[in-house]
Amino acid sequence: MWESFLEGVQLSLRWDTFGMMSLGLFLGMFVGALPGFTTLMAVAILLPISFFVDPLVGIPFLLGVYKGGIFGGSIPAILVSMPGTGAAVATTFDGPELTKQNKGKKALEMAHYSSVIGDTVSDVVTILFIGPIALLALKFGPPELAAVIFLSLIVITITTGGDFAKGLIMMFVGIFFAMIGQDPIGALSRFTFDIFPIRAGIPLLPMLIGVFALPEMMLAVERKAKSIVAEKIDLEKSEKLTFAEFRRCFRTILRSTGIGTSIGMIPGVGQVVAAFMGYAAAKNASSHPETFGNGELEGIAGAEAANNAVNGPTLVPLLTLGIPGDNLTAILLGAFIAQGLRPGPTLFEEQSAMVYAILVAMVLANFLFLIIGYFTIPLFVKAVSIRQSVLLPLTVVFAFAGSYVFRSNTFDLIVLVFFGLFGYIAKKLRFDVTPMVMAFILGPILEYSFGQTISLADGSLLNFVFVDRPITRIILLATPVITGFLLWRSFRHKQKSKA
Amino acid sequence: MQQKNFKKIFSSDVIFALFFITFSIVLLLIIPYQVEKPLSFMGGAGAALDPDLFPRVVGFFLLGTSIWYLVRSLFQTGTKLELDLDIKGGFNILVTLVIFLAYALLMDPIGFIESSAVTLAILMSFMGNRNFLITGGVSLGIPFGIYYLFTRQLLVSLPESYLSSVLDKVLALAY
Repeated sequence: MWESFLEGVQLSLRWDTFGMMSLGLFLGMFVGALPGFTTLMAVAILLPISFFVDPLVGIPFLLGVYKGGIFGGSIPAILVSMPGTGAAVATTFDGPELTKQNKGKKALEMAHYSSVIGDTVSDVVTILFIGPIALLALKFGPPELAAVIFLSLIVITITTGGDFAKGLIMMFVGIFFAMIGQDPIGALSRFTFDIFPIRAGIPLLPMLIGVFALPEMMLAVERKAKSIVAEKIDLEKSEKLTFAEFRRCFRTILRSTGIGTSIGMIPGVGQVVAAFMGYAAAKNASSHPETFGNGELEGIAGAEAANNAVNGPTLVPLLTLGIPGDNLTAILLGAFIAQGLRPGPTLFEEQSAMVYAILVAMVLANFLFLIIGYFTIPLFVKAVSIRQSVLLPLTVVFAFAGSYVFRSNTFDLIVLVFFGLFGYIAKKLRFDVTPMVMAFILGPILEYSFGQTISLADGSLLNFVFVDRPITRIILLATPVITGFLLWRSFRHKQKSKA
Repeated sequence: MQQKNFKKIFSSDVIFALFFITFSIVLLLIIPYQVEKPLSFMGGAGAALDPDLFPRVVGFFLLGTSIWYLVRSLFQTGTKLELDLDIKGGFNILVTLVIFLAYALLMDPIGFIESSAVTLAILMSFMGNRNFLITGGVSLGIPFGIYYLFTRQLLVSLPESYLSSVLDKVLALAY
């Protein structure tokens, strides 16, 4: 493992990797800074660029967009109280108050440094833990994989969507979409309705781009959103962050980093929850909690360190088990597949040096993030007031071009439009598309693993699963307990909200 | 009053629950016609897992969940979900969908640069951009830029056309 790590370090030290990561960070911060544009949308639209370059250039590029986007969302959150991404909602509690007090620059610098520290520490933790987890994952056979995918789907359905029934419906719809084409065991035709282009199934990439990028555009068109912010923002005379202030917030940054790192490893929870938990922990630990919500720098540090600390650990379930923890890692999975790589236990076994190279690149990206962010924040402040009527049509052209180039097939563009409409309707009706996307990706693997389990069981499935396979038994017995706990927590949260 | 009662019962949740119930029933009914049967081998099954087992499981679970969703929506107290879409918003979405479909279908026959330029100009104007200099510049410049990025830098193909051949000639002269 140590040799693989050293080889990974050597592999990651490439100029083109650094160049594309820097470009990714720049684009991510830019998109994150635009209110109404999400990091998810940016990663989905820029995904096709990663297909046609080396995996060690394309995947770090997307990771750069991801990291930059999560931080970029804090810029409009601090300046105009409009979170650029969901992860920056907790930043709006104190950011706009600091801007009103002429401390906008101070808040942006605190968000930047907290994000870099949170991201770097969590990436190092990821590198330390991913090897042992991958070794454990190697013990997984078809029954264990089927059980863990089933559990992951349930956890994602409960934690991502607001409503369990709606989440379950979306999950089953996702499995249905995945069943179109060929069955994964015998390659027999299913639900093709004699339409030739779907005989190989629904293409993943136009589906991902459609469901994550086009609905934002359609929602903006529905409102005919010309621009979000009209006024110009000037930070020239705003106060800068002092070392004493940074030192005062350091404990909060470390605490939130721990919270974000732990949350990142759980599939489906994500940055939004981490940011709120980081903020709440900072407030609880503070000797002056009354200042939170009235322009407290620790509030910014708590939320921003926590949401960026999620970035690295979300890759753990993806790289070791092939299970994406959230929408963004689902798109990253698409990038891996397009490169001919299948994340999971075998990827770590066969190409561990490349996996480590990607993780080392993530750590190095944070240093670039520190430098690029320092020089470009004033530029991104101006991006907050760019007109949406110019930017949104550009994203449409990029989405169409990106969906076309992979197979050069017009049918993929129809798939893109269909899933764009699907995503829009789902948003309007408050159905979360995450369980659908996860089920679409994991459904065939679940069916294949289940089929193999039946073959291995040789007629006595229950005996095989519960007696011969102890890990499967533990996962299956834990499933109702975890489900019950998550449902109880969600119910209690709703009751609290009502009260 | 009657319309209010109708709305009270048929909220968007109820309508979509009914939609998913219908969808799952149709799914279960078409399985025998839409799922290919495996060839039997020496009189036994060809595969360990029947290709129609998963579709059946998904169909039944989707039906069960949709019924639960319907019952819950019917007896739901408090504010019910209403589709937040007025006629103007609906019209905007319809126009956008027509633009998207036309763009998807015309990209191959008329070329990437031309179809993208027209789509950009229409969408920007439709979204209220009245600065025709920006509209014109962006509509022409961006498709050329994207075409150049994909075909020259990433070496993948986009539908060619008269304007792309002009770009090729300009690039050939430049290098």
